[in-house]
Amino acid sequence: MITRLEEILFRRRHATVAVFLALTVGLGYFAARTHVDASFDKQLPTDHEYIRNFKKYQEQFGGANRVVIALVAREGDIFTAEFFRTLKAVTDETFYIPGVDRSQVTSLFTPNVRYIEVVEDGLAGGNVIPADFVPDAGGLERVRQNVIKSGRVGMLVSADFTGAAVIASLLEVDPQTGRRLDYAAVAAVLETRIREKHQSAAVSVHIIGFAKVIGDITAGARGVLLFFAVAIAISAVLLYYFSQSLVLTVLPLFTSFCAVVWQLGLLNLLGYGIDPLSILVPFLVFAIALSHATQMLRSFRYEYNAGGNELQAARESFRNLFVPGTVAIVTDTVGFLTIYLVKVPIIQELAVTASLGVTLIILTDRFFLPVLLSYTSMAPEFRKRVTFRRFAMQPTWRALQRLTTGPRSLVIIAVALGLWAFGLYTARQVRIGDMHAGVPELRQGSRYNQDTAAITAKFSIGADVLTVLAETVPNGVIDHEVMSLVDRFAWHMRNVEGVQSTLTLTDYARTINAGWNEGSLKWRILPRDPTVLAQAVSPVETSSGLLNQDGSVIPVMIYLKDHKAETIQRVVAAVKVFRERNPAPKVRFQLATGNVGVMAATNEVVDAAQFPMLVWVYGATIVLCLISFRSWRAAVCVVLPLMIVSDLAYALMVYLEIGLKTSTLPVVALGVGIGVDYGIYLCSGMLERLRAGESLEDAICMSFATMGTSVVFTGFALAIGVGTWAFSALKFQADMGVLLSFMFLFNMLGAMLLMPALASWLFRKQRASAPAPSAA
Amino acid sequence: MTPTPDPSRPSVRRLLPVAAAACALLWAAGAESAAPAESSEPAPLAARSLLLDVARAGDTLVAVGDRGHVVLSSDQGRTWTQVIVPTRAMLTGVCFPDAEHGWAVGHDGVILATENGGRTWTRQDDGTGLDVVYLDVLFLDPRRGFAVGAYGRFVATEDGGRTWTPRRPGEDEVHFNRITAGPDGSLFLAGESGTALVSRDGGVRWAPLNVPYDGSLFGILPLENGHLVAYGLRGHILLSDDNGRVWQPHNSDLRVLIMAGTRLGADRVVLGGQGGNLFVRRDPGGEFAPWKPAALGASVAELLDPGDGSLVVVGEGGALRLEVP
Repeated sequence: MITRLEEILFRRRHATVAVFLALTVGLGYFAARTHVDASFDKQLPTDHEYIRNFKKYQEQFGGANRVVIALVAREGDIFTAEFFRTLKAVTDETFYIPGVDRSQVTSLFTPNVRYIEVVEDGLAGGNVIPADFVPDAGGLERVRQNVIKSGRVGMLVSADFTGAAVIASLLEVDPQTGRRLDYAAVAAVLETRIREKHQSAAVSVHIIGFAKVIGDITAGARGVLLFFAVAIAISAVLLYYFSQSLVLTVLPLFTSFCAVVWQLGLLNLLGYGIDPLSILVPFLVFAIALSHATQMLRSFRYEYNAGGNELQAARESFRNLFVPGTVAIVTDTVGFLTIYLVKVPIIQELAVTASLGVTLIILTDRFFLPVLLSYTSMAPEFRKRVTFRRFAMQPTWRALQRLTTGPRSLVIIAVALGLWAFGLYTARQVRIGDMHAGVPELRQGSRYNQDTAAITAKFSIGADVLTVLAETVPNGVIDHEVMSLVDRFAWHMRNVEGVQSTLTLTDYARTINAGWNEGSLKWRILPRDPTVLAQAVSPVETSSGLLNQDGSVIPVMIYLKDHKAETIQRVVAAVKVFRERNPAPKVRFQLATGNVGVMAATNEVVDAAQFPMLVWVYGATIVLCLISFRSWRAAVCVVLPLMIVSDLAYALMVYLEIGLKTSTLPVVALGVGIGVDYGIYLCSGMLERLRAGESLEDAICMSFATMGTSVVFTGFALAIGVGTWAFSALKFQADMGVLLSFMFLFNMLGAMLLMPALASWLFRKQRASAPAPSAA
Repeated sequence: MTPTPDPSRPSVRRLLPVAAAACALLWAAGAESAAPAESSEPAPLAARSLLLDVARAGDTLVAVGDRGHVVLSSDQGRTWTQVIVPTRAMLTGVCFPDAEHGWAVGHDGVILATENGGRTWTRQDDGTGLDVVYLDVLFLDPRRGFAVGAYGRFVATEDGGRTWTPRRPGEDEVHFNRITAGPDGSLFLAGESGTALVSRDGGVRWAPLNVPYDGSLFGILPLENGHLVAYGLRGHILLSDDNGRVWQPHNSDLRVLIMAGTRLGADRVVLGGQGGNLFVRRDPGGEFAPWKPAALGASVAELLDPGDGSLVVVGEGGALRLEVP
C-alpha cells in the first residue's frame, strides 16, 4: 500500500505539487477570513443539572452573563451633582450597549429600583431617584435617604457611599435580529463609550463581566500572534543550524505552515471561528507538524548521504517514515479526540479543531514535504558538512547509549520512578477551577483584575454570584412554611465562609412587613397569616427578579467573595447539606444560575471527565503502540515516560497555581500528543534494527543517531520558542508557555533517557553482553 | 427634606390576586399546633445580624434578636458568643432583674427564661400562641414581671413566669411597644396611636398620660425627679418635667423612627433609630443633637450603657460599641 501511495505521489510529482499548492491557496483564502468567535454559552456544560436549571430560568431571572460598571468618586462620596450626572449618563449609555437585555439594566436611575417607606398613614414608595430630582443639597439628601430605604446599599451603592454601580445582563443572541453577539464589539463599546467618555478627575470607572474578559483576552491575543512569530523565528534559526541548508530550513517551515493554513481554512468552511481561549491550537498544530517535518528532513539527509540522489532520498524517506509517522499522528489525533469526552462545547470544539489540524499533518508533512524535497538539489559541500557532523556526533550518541543501557540505566529508572511517585503525590493536590480571585487568564495586575478587586472591596455584590432557585408551589411566596424555609436557607448560606451577602425575596418581604408596622425592626419577620404575608410580598414586582409571575420560584442570590475552586465547592456543599437536612415537600432548592453556578457545573464536569480522559488517552496510545509495534514491551517503553511526564505536568500546575479548568484541562492530552511522537520514532527506529538482528546496544545507538537527532532538536527548539511565552501579557498564554515548554523538554528527556533505559531491561535478551550483576 | 411619597406611583398596590383565596388557608396556619421541638441554629454571624434588645446580667451583656439568636458578651460588648435556645422565632425583648435570672420574649408567643445568667434557657410558654407577638419584657425582681406586645397584649406574673395572667391596661387593642420602670417605681407603657400609660401601683391600674401626639410612641424613658423623655415615629421627641402631666415637643428635623433611648452616665441621654441616626443630649437642660456615627450604617433597636463610658448599640447590623462624643 505504501508503495502504491509512493507511486501516486512521486510519479507525477508536478501534479502532486500543483494540487497541494492549489489546496493551500484555496484554503488560505478561507483561512484569511478566520474570525475570533467567543461565546459565553459555549462554556456551558449543557448536560449538567445546574446548566439545565440555568437554561430553564435564564429568560425569567436573567443570565449569568453580567456586566457590572462601577463608578467610584475619587474624593468624598457620591452625593455630588457631577457624580449623579455621570451616573445618569452611564445608565443611559448602558441601554445602548449591543446585546444588553434592557429590562434587566439596574442602577439608581432605573425604574426597577424602588424604595418603600413608612409614613403615618401606611406605606409609601417611589423611585429612588424621583422624577423631579434636582442635584442640589436637598435633592441629594433625599436620594441618600431613599437609597437607604431601598435596601440596595452594598449592591447599587457601595456601603461607604463612595461608589455606585450599573448592572446589566447580556443576551448572546439578539432577540430581534437573531445574530450572535460580537463580544469584542461589546468590550470596545464599554471602553470607548463608558470608560473613556465618562472617567474624569472626579469619577473613576471600573468594568467587569464576561464580555470585558473576552475583550481583554482578544486584545491580548494580538500579542499572542507576536509571540507565535518569536517562537517560529527561534525554531527557524535552530532549524537552519540543524539542517545546514537554507532550502531544508524553509521547506519544513513551509509545509508546517501549510498544515495551519489548511486547518484554519477548513474550520472556516465548517463554520468554526477561533475562540480566544483556543488560540494556542494553531500553534500546537504547527509545532507538531514541525516535529514530523524535522524527522522527514533528517531522514532525507541521511538517505542522501547514504548515496542516493535527491529524488531517491525523498522517496526512501517517505517509505521509511510512513509507518512511525502515521502511527504518531494518529495517536496525536486520538489523544486530542479524547478531550471530546468533556461535555463542554468549547472543549469539544477544541477537540475537533485540534484533531483535525493534526490529521492534516499527514498530508502536508508526510506527503507534500517529501515531494517538495525531491526537487531540491543539494550543494556538493552539503554532503561533506553533514557527514562530518554525523561522525562528530557519533561518540556522543555512543556515550548516551552506554549511559542509558549500562548499569546506570537502573539509576535512570529509579530517578524516573521517584519523580513519578512525587508527581503522583503532588498531582493529587491539583485544584479544579480557579485558584485566585479575579480572572486567571489575565495577570493579577491587569486592569480587569484591578477593577474586580476595586468592585469586590466596595460592593457586597462582587462579580461572583451563585443563584439557587427555590422551586415551590404556585403562590408559594405567600406560604409561610415555604418562605420561612427559603429565609432560613438564605441565612444558612450567608453564614458560610466565603459568602459576602445574600439577597432573596424574604429579605424584602421582612422589610416591607416592618414597613407596614411603622418601620419597627421588631416586625421584620415573615407573617404567619397568608393575607398579611401577601401584603408584604405584593409590593415586590416580578421585574425585580426576586420571584416569578405565579410566585412559584424564588431565586436566592448568594454573592461570593471570589470564585476560587474551594470557595465554590464549600458553598455548593453547604447548599446540598441544607437541602438534605431540611427535606420539604413544597420546596426544592435547585442549583444553580449566576456565573458561579456555571463555574460550579463546569468544575464538576471537568472533575468528572479528568480520569476517564486519561484512561482514554493512554488506552488509545497503548492500543495504537501494540498494533503498530506488535510488542507489549515497546508499548511500555513509549507510554511509561509519557505517563510520568504528564503526572509531573500536573505537579507543575500545582506549583504554578494553575487550576484545572476548561482552558487548562486539554493541556495534558495535548502534552501526550506532543510527547508520543518522540517515543514512537525512537522506538520504531530501535525495533527495526532489533528485528534486523542487531544487538540492543547498536539498535539504540543507531536510533539515537537517526531519529534521536531530530527528537533532541525538536524538543529544544520548541521548548525554547514556547518558553518565551512566559513573558506574554496574557497570563493564560504565559502559563501555557511554561507548561508546554516543560512538556516538550521532559518528553524529549523521557524518550532519550528513560525509553532506552527501559528497553535495556525489557529487551535484555537481545543485549550484546549481559549486564553486570553488580549493577544494582 | 421630608421624604414625600411620589403620588404618581401608588404605594400600596394591588395585592397578589391570590390573597383572597389565601385567606381561606388561614386555618392551616392556625392548625400548626403543639410546641415545635425546634431550637435556634448556630450562626457565626449571629452577633452581626438583626438584634433587637440587650440587657445587663451582672457583668455580662445579653442581646437577643432574629431567628432565636441570643448572644452573650463578657467584655462590655466587644466580642459575643451565641447560645442555643429552644426557639427559632424572633426575640424582641430581654430583661435581667439580677445577674442570674432573665427572661426573653418574642414572636410566636415565645417566653424564654434563664436562671444562670443566660447560659441556658427554657421555654415558659406552651408553644401554642403562634399568633401572639410580644414586643417587650420587664421584670422588677425575679418574681414579678410583665410581657407586652401587639394587639393590646399584656401579661403579668407574680411567680417568676410559671403562670402568666393577662391584663388590659387600656381599652384599645393597640401595640404596646415598650414597658419601662422609673426610679420611683412608676411603670410606663408606650405604644401605638399616642399610647402613653403610667402605673403607680406596680402595674395593676394604669392611667393615660396626656401626650400631645397621636402617632406611635416607641418608649418612655424615665429620668430623675419626674423627668420623662418620650420618643416615637418620625423624629418625635417629647419631654415632661412633672411626671408626665405637661409635655413639650422637641421634635427632630430628621423625620426618622426613634426606637430606643438610654441614659449614659449621669447626665447624658441618647436616643436612636432608623438609618443609624442617634440623638445626644449632653446635659439636662440641653437639646437633642443629631449624631450619625460613621461606623453605624443601620437602624438602631436598642441602646445600653455598658458602664464603662461607651455606648452599646444593637439593631439591624448586630451589636456595636460606640464612643459618644
